[in-house]
Amino acid sequence: MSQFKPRIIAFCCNWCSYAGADLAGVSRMQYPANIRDIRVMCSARVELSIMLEALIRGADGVAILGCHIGDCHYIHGNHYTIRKVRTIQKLLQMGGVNPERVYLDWVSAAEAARFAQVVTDFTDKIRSLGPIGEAEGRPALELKRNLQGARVAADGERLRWLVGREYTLEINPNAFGEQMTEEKLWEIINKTAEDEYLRGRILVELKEEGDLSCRELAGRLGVEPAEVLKHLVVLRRKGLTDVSGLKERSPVYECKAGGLL
Amino acid sequence: MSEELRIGVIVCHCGTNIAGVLNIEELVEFARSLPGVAHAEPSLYACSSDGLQKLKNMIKEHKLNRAVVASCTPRTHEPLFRTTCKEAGVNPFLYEMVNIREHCSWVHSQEPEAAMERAKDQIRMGVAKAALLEPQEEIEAQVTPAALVIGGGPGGMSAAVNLASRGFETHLIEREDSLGGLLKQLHTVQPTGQNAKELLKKLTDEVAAHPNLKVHLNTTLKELAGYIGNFNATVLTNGEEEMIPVGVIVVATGADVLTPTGKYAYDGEKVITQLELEKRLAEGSVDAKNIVMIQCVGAMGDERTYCSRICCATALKNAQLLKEADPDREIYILYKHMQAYGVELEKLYREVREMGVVFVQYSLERRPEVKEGWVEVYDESVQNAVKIPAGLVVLATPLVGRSDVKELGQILKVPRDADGFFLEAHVKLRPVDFATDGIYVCGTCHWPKSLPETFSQAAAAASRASIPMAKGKIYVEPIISCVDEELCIGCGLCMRNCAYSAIEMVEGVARVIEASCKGCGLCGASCPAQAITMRHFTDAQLGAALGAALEESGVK
Repeated sequence: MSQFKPRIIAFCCNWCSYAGADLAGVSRMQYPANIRDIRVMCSARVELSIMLEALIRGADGVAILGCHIGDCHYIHGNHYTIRKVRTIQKLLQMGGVNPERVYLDWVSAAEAARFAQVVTDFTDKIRSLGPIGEAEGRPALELKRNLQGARVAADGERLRWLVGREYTLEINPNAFGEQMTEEKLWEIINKTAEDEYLRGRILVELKEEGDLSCRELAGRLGVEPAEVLKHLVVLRRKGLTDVSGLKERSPVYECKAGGLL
Repeated sequence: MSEELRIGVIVCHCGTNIAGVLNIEELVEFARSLPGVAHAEPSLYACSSDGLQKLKNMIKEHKLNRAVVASCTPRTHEPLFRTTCKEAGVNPFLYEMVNIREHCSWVHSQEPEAAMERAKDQIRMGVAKAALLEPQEEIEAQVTPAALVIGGGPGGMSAAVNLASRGFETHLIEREDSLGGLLKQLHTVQPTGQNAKELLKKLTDEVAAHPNLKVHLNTTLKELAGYIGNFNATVLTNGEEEMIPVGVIVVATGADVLTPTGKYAYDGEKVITQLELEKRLAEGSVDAKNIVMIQCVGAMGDERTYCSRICCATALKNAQLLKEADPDREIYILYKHMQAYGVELEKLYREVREMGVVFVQYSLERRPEVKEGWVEVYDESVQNAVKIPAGLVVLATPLVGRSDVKELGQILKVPRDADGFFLEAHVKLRPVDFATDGIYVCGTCHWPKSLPETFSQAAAAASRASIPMAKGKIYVEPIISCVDEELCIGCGLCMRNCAYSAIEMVEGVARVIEASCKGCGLCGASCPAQAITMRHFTDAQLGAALGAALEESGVK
C-alpha cells in the first residue's frame, strides 16, 4: 500500500477550474502530481459513461471541477453536473465501488489556492481509500462487470432522459402543471438507476458467461430470482435478450445487446 | 480517414520555466515513440517568431497533418498556434495543446520525477486526442458596429469618448443620476494636483458634445444575451427596459472606498477618511492644527492582503495642500510602506518631506492607537513609542470591489478575484480583455489605480474593443454540437435545456443554430438517444485521452 500511486483523472471546465489551475501554476503553488487533467468546455459535458470509462480503465479517482453555482460560464451547466454526479454515485454504490471515488467541486478562475487544496485533498482521500478494486474487497472481474453494467445503465435512454430532465423539472412545472420536488424526482431517478443497473448487469453477465438461466443469474448477482425474472421480461421485450434453449427444464437466456456493451 | 496519420510534436523549453524542471530531450524522445507521431522536436520558446516559424517548417518538411505543442495553457496560446498551423496549411482544429507549464513544471517543481511522469502522460493524452481530431471550418458572423460602456466614471467616460471618436455608436450607461463616479467626491487629483471639478467638467463636456455617444443615466444592465459582435444588452432605466444591440462591451464600473467602521475610533468627525477629507478641503473647512494620517487602514495585511496603490499618493497630495494652506500645521503620516512609485510621486514625496511633514513607520504587530486628542504609535525606526497630538485623524482606506460586482459578473459571465475585482484574461498578454470574447475591462473595477493609469487603460480597452468592429466580421469557433438526424428521437430535451436557445426542432428533429451555439456540450451529454456530438470534444476524443492517461492500468 505504501507504493500506491493513485491515478486521478480531473475534468476541468475551460472557464473556471482550468483557469484556476493555470493561476495555481502562475502562483507556483505545489500539489501532488498524481492528477491527469482533461479540459472540457463545461463540466456538464462530462457524461456518466465517461466517468465510468475512467474507472473501468483503472482510475482510482475522478474529479469533476466546475464553476461555482451561479458563475457557470454557460449559465446553468453546473446544475446538471450536480445531478449527473449524484446519479453516478448511486450507480457506483450499487456496483460495490466506493462512491467517493467520483468527486465534484467548484473552483473559480481566481481560486488558485483552492485548486491546489482541492486536488491535494482529493489525492489524499483516494490514497486513504486505496487502489480501486483492491480496496473495495471484491474480485476484479466482478467489479469490472459491475462498472460495465453501470455503464449500460448510464448509456440507456431512460436514465439519460431523467437525469437530463431533472433540473428543469425542479425549477418549472411539468406538462400537467405539477411542480415536482427535488426529493420526489431523486426518488424516481434512484429507483430507475437501480432497475437499469441490474438490467445492465444481467446483460454483461450473459455476454461474458454465455447463456444462463434466471436462477443462475440470480445466484451470480446475489439477487432474488423473481427480481431477475422481472428484468429479463423487460429486456426480452426490448430485444436485448432472448431464450436460447433449456437447461434442466429451465429456459436459458442469451445476450443480444452486443452493440451496447 | 484514408490519409496516413502524421502527427508532429513540439516540446517547449519556455526558457527554464519548463526545462528547469522537466527533461525536454527525454520528452521529445518519448513523443517520438507514440503511435501516429511522425516527428518530434524541442523548441526554446515555441511562441516566439522563431518558434512559430519552426512549427511551420516542421509541418511542411515532414508533411504533417496534425500538430501538438506541449508548452503552456491553451487559454492564452492556443489561438496563436492554431493560426500558425493554418498558415502552414493544416486546419487549425487539427492542433492540440498540452499544458506542461502551468499544470506541470510550475506546480510540481518540488518533485521533478513525478512531474516527468505527468508530463509524459499528458503528452500521450494530447497525441491520442490529436489523432482523432477532425477539421472544422470557422463560422463567420457579422459585427454590430456599436459599443456598450458600463459605468460613467472617468474610465467609462474616457473609453466611451474614445470609441465614439472612432465613429462607432456608443452607449454609456450609469446607474447614478449624473456622470463622474468617484471623481465627483474628490477635491484635487494626484499626481498633477488638478482640480477635480474642472477635470470632471472637461470630461462630461466631451461626452455631451459627442454626436455618436448616447448617455443613459439611472440605468443598469439587467441581462446580456448573444456573443461577440452580436450582444443584446437589456438595460433598465427607472424601471423601464430597453434592448440595445451592441458588438462589444467595456466594463468600467469602478470601486467602492472602504468605510472603516469600528477601526481607529473612526467617527466621521474627528477621525475621518481621506475621501471625507477631500470634501472638507473643497469646502475649506479644515481648521485642525495637528493632523495625523494613518495609511493602510484595512489593507496590506489588515483584513485585506493587497495594496490599494493610490492611498499613499493621496495622503502626500493632501498633506501638501494642508501644509501650503497653513505652514504652521504639524502633519504626521503613519505608514507601513510608502508607495511613492515612479517619477512624479517620488518627486511629490520629497517635496512633502521638505515641507516638514513627518513620516513614521509602524508595523502590523504594533498598530497606532487613536486616543482623545492624540495618537500613540510605536516608531519602528527609533524603536520607541511616541505620542502625537491630533486635532484631526485621517485614515487612508483602500478601494474595494463593489458590492454588486458578483451580480454584474454573473450577468456578463466574467470572473472576479477573491477581493471582488474583475479578472482579466491574462495579466500580460491580454491585460484589458476578459476571457469572454468581446468584453473588455478598464479602471478601478479591475484593480485600484490612479487616474492616469485609468485613462491609459480606458484608451487600451477602447482600442481593443474597436478591433472587431473595425473588421466588421468575426469568426466564431466551430466548437459546437451537431445532431445525427438518423439517431434523433425528437424528444426536445436538448432544445429545452439549451441556455442559448441554440437548438430548434424542425419536422420533429433537433437542429443546431450554429451562430448561437456556445459549445458547452450539455445537450450531447444529456441526449437520451446519444444523437448529439460535441465537436472537438467528442466521446471518442475524450475516451482516447482517458485511455492514454490510464495506459498500463486497469481494475486490479
